[in-house]
Amino acid sequence: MVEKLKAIVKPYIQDEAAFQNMNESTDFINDLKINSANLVDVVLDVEDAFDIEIDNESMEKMLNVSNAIEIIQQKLS
Amino acid sequence: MVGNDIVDLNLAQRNAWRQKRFLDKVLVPSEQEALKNSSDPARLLWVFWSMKESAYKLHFRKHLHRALNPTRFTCFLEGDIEPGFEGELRGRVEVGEQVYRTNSKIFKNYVHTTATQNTSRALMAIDEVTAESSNEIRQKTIHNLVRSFSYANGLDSLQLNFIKDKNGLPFLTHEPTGHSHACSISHHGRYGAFAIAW
Repeated sequence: MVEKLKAIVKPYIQDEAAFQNMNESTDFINDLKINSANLVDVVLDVEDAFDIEIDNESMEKMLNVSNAIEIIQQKLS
Repeated sequence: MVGNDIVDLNLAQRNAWRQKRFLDKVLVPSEQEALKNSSDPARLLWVFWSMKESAYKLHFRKHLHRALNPTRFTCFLEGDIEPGFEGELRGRVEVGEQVYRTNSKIFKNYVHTTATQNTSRALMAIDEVTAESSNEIRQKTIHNLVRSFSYANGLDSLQLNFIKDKNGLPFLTHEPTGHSHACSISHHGRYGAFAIAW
């Protein structure tokens, strides 16, 4: 799951070192330095990649890798 | 207190097929309606976005609640923009019970908004930086913040430090007195901007 997310966030990251070490505790904004408009793009790309819909309430928590995985698994089940 | 946000309009464009889904995730119905009726919807979107983002920064400073929740922030803009318009527009952003005042500087290549609450004096400035890394733009923006604030207050710039607290909130501190002033910095693409109020 982390690997799949890694491919999705790659175009938007601004910290290469943090990206190389990306793991469940990585924060999209504080660590990867993804800007918040691009974080909305990440959410759209996640929707496409997993064929799910992330409502705005779930999107509120899409700030780090572990939350993203939790939300994706929730929507897939 | 103050929050700011700058958008480099040359970097902000999205594919048309994606636009509708993006809008549903960031704008409330009244804002989407305003876009439909606008003669310059492409820039109006980023005016709304920078209003929301600057208000979010201010709101976060008060409540320390992180969230990716642009549709909880509702924009009211005093006036509309047309293609070719360059200038300032005032507005407000409402989130829950809170109301923040905004001022957006709108140009051909970028939009910069500051959101304020209970502010007596405020300083802000925008820089255009060419062909440099995002980190260099950030450093230059901080340098200009320190220089401008020291000049406006008759302070020695070498005694001012830009710091972030444990919540990641930026402050400018004055070493001899220990006074600290909340500030906000933003950079995107070729542009960097700061805002500070006291």
